[in-house]
Amino acid sequence: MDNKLIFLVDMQSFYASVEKSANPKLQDHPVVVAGDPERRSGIILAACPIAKQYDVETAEALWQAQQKCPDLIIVRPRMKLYIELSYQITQILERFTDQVEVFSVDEQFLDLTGTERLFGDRYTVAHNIQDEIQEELGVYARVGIGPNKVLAKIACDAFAKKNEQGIFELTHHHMKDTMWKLPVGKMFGVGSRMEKHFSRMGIQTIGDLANYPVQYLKKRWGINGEVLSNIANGIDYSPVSTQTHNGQKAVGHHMTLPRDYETLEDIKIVLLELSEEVAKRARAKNYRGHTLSLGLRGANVNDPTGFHRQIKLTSPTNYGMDLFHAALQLLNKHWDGLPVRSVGVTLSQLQSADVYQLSLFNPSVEKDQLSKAMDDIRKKFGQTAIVRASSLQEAGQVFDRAQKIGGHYK
Amino acid sequence: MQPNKLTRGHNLLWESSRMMLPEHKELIEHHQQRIRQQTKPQLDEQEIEWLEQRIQKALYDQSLVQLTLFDPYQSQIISGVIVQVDSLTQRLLLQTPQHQQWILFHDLIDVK
Repeated sequence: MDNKLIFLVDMQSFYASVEKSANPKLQDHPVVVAGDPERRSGIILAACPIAKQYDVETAEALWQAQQKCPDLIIVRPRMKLYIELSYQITQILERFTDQVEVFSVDEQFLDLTGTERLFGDRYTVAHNIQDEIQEELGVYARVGIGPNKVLAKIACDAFAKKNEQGIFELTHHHMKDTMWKLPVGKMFGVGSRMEKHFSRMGIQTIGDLANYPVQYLKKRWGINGEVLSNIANGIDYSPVSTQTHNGQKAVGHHMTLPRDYETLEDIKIVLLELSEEVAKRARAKNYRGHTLSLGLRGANVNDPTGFHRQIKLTSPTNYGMDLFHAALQLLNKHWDGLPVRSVGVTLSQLQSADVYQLSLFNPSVEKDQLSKAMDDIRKKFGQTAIVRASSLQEAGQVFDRAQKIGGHYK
Repeated sequence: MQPNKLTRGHNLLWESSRMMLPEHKELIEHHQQRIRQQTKPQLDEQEIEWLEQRIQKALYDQSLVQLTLFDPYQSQIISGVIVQVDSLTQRLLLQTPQHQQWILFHDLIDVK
């Protein structure tokens, strides 16, 4: 179970590399891909290796990066293209095995157990993967190799990204001399908050965590404590699963607002838009959901406020107004009245929309027909062909969102 | 019990920590579906004759049969009693516990 041959293939500064290979003039210049500085999305999404030499970091504000590197070339993100190319990489990887799990837009897992006789030893395969991606897309790939996903991931993040060949293998045998020496903050699954807790407990390195009695970790953090202890010991039984994206557990939509919204009226407008969007996507996938959750984040980043609450709906639904009313109920109950930076609505406990309980007092046939009519109009004439009148107000975001993927221009 | 991040054979450790745009997920889903798509098996003369015999016999005996219908993603099996065979339009009428249903010979890949 724990002794497979797993690769994690990661693209170096994926968005920036794509832009560079699409436009060779950029090749020798420091390039970053960044959102619109006029809006909140004006942060660095990816920086090319040359830009990184100037200490430009991912996720910092654009103006900060420009101070570090005045010659910086800024490219607007083209999300659709990146998704397209990520998919092409998936297809390249499928030449080596059909067991490919996409983990993010620039990281994919491969299970190559038992392919040695087909493609040669693991290093040859890793080189071939690098070469083919480089040749076809002009992107440099790094490969982490391990007996399971966790070690492959750490091999890639902590070692392959830093060495010359861009390939590194972690095994149970030598992880003690390599991985265990790393600070615990470098470990997959340990964020800055967890790192602080660990440091207070005297855990500095991944090795310290691996040797820390698991029962104490379990007592304090439950399942997650044991998970982290396992990771530190290089234990992971997760399969590389190609079907991992099929079963959907929730449909959610989240947005960072262009400015802080301070009045209930303004928040209600985006709340309705989010509810409609979530309902629309649930309908497109033929789901109804039974639980609605609302997440809200305050405007002050240094003093985080906000909440994440959920509510059980009276019956499973995929109708925008139902979601909106539930979300509004949560908002009224939990919002502290402080300015809001971002809002998210998620519909979960999904079930098929084919079967549902008929409600005596809340006839759903009309709602279904209305929703279907709106969906059909949008399908034929575009996403903004029919919108709520409230979206025409200044706080509305639908027209802006319709041109974007993941909050950035397509 | 609900599977958690420690449950063996499950992928929750990774599923709970990943960030994927819905548009990307959709693309992968389509891709997987295309991979699973099957082509319809070609039946040779003897097989077709054999299927015909069994259909005739089932019709004559009014016995319960199990028909396998081809679908590129998931072959479908339905059972019932054959009520009528219409050789002109190349189809048969099957009485299932719920309703009657016309089935094209073209879709048939097995009769039991």
